[in-house]
Amino acid sequence: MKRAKDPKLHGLYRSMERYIDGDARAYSEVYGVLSGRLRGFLLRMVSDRDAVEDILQVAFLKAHLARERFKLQTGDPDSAVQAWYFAIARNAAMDHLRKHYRKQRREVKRFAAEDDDQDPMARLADQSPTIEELGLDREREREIIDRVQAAIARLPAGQREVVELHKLRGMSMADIAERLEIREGAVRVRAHRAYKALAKWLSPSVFALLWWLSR
Amino acid sequence: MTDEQQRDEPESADTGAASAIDVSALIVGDLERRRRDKRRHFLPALLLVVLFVGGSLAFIGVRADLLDQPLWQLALQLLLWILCFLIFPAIGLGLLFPRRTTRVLLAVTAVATTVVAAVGQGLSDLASLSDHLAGEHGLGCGAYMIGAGMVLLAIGYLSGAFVQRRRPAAVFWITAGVALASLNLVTWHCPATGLAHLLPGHLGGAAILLILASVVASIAHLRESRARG
Repeated sequence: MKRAKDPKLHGLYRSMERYIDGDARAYSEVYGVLSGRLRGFLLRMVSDRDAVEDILQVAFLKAHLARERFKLQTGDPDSAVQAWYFAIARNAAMDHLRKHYRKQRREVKRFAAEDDDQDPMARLADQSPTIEELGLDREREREIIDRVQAAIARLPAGQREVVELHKLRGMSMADIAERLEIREGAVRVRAHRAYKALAKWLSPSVFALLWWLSR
Repeated sequence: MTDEQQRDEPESADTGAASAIDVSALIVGDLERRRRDKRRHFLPALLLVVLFVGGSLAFIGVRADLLDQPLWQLALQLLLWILCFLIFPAIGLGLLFPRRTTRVLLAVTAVATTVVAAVGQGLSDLASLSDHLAGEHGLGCGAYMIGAGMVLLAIGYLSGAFVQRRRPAAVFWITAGVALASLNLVTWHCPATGLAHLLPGHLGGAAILLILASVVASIAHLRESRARG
């Protein structure tokens, strides 16, 4: 069944087009419609209000710099604008999380290198999980990865290739199309079918797929 | 500015590092700067068009009864000059962004004004149209209009006016401006008032020019869109 269109998004594509053509008022319209939604989405990913505001601003700035590259493929144009912004916000959030993780690792290494009297892990004890928790997490993670990899292996070769290039190598749809020497639309169709199939096969734990996609 | 944005801004103002830079203000500033650059880029093209139209009128001569036309007709012709030199190109280039209703109103007004301003006094002869159609049909005026229109089209093409906006429909504002400028040029030169001359020669010529210019502009836009990928 087709999803009902969100009435709040109505006219978003037109505003986006005018924004790309240089209309500052249209930018305000796009910002007005999407900032609240993006903020909510980012809060679920990052859970830090200050960081979310930073990421939100980064996302809008990145979208501004890349706005000429926004292209309408198929489907509902208003939703396509929203999806484009969500993809940029998600990438910005992932960058933030990666940086945060690297920073924490550096901290731990620095503490260890200082050979402090105090146990470096003890300084992070409040925030860090216990060894048992880490072990369990790793086991659960391994199990999810195995399931997702098995599901990917079941995909037809054409779809598997697209998923691997897109998710594992981080290539854009345009780059994949160039590499496989097929149209970008065809790449998107393959990716859509592949992700749909993966979601179906992994349906008891769709969250696993979401977790994997968000890596 | 929307209500939601107004609600959002105070919230973002009291955050940490993000509050140091207001990205929305930066983006709006960038868009304004680009608009100024675009205006500066197209000003010479506009001056060239005005010079060409003014020079042509000086060369071929202004109709003797220009100021003897009814005042309303002269006012409509002046309005058309403003539309074709300023308003239509500004919309086509992305310097003005009127709302949809305003655009529709503008287009309808322009069409009605064009017909009334070009035909003017001839409208009173509508009853005897069949008599008029027996005479010459203004082929010279039509040909001159298309020739002048081609020069204006070339200026638009070379200045990049047809590839400024993403929507292909935007080029029609500029081609309408080209057709209107050429029509007004001929209207200010040719003193004929008979419908048999004005309908095919002036309005017919303008319609042909509009179609030709739209085809050329659309091809230019399409090529640019393909080149951008």
